[in-house]
Amino acid sequence: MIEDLLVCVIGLAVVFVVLAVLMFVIIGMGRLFGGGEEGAEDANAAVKTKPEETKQEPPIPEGATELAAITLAMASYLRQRGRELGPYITINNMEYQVDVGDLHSPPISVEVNGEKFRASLNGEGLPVSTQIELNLGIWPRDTRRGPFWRAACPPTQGGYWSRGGWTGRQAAGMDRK
Amino acid sequence: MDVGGFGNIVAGFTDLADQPLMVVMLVIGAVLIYLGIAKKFEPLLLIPIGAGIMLANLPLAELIKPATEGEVGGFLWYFQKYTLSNELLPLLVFLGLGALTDFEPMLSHPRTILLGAAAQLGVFIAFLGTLALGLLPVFDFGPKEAASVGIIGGADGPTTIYVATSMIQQGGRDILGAVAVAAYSYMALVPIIQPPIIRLLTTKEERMIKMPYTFRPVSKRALIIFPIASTIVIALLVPKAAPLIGIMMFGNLLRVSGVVERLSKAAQNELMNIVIIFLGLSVGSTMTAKVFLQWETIAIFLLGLVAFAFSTAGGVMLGKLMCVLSHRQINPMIGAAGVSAVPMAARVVQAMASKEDPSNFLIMHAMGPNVAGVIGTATAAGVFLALIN
Repeated sequence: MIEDLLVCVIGLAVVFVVLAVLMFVIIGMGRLFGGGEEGAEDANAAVKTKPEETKQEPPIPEGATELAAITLAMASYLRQRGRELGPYITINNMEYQVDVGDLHSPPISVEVNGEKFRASLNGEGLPVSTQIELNLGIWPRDTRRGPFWRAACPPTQGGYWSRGGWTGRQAAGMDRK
Repeated sequence: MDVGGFGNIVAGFTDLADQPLMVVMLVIGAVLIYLGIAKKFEPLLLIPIGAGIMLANLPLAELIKPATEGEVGGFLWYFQKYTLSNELLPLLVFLGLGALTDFEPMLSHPRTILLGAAAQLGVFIAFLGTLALGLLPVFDFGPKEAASVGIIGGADGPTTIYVATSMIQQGGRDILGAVAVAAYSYMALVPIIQPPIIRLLTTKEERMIKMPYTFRPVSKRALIIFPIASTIVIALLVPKAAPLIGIMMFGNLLRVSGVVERLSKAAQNELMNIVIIFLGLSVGSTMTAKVFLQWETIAIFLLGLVAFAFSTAGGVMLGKLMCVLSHRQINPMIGAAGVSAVPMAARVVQAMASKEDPSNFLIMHAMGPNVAGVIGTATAAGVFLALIN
């Protein structure tokens, strides 16, 4: 009976040893050829070493994503008013070098101190209409002609400005108090 | 008119009247066929085995009659002699299994391999149990029979047949039919046997532990080297397991190499199907009334159940230990998948996890121990073959 017990103990031990050896073989293969648990750990280790390798590069300011978002918002705001964002913005007395790509073609590239971001709105560029680029500044009389010069007041509101004076609603005296 | 010729016509009835137990065997064969068809219990094996039993127990036993000088034997006798008794068929099934098995879940999460070892506990418990029963005068069990019965706990039909055949060749009793039917029956009953044991050994909180699955791709080079490396490693450690592991890993190499798809498909389908037909008929044909209708058969079925239960428990217990050591990162239920009923045991674990928490998915974690269990059972078989003479 002791022999039979020994068969059981040795047998179970051998099964454990064989599968444990196989486990280490698999882990070793993972290290050598990639994949597997250890391979994944190696991949993580490689990622960890990356910041050390890039130590020489200029430091990226904290909250760079927020800065990019602010930059994009500013560029969009200025474009709406027909202006372009300059190469620098200042936040909390700190100056950042920025560059914004084409707002209409996604993804929009935004660069803050050399850190590049790509933004899009549902896969599209920002809905900035070309109409808002119209310059509605006050021009001296007779220096501009044509429809957009006369369209100071949309026709849907019943009137527009022309060389001859107000037409439509105003001419009809509708806006008089 | 030749009166002797008329006697030949009714000889079948005469033989049946002389051996009424043949009727019992015909009923058993019919029951197995019924279970395979109506209940879908391992139909690929139980239908050929049932048919083999019925063919072997037809009156006059013409189909299993051994060949003598100047007289041709029954065709089932040739099946037994040239395919089963030389262990050829179980090895060919292992070739197909290797071609069908995907080791990637195990290779991507190697720490679960040990669960496949723990789930061999039932093999050795049943071995001891069989020897203990052998002390009783009713049962004629020795170490060779105990090894054949114990290996049922691995839940691996071809390995069970391989060990039982080897033990018969070494002078053991012919219990091949009983252990094969017990193994395949309990493999079909895994969804009924395992859940109560798992529930008994785990708490609800443990069963609800989630294991997020991170897909870790395994390189093709690793997939190709694994079958070669594992064959060499196991052949060095347990040489007697080399035939089983070697042929299985060869089948797997056909699969993962990616350049012999025809051979891989042939091993998975055509060869496997042909071999299963021969294996089922051959195993069934060994089950004559004289061999099968013994008290030992009942004991084998009971011990097979014990083996399954302890194998499940062994896997779950190691799973619990790993759960504690990993700070509840491992759900102990996946240990139950260490029994090598692929993929049934893994599906049972998934079903239980889903029952506790529908958002819990353990199937991929369970597949690792599941395929490791196949290697574990083959190794246990090699140990028995090496230690028991």
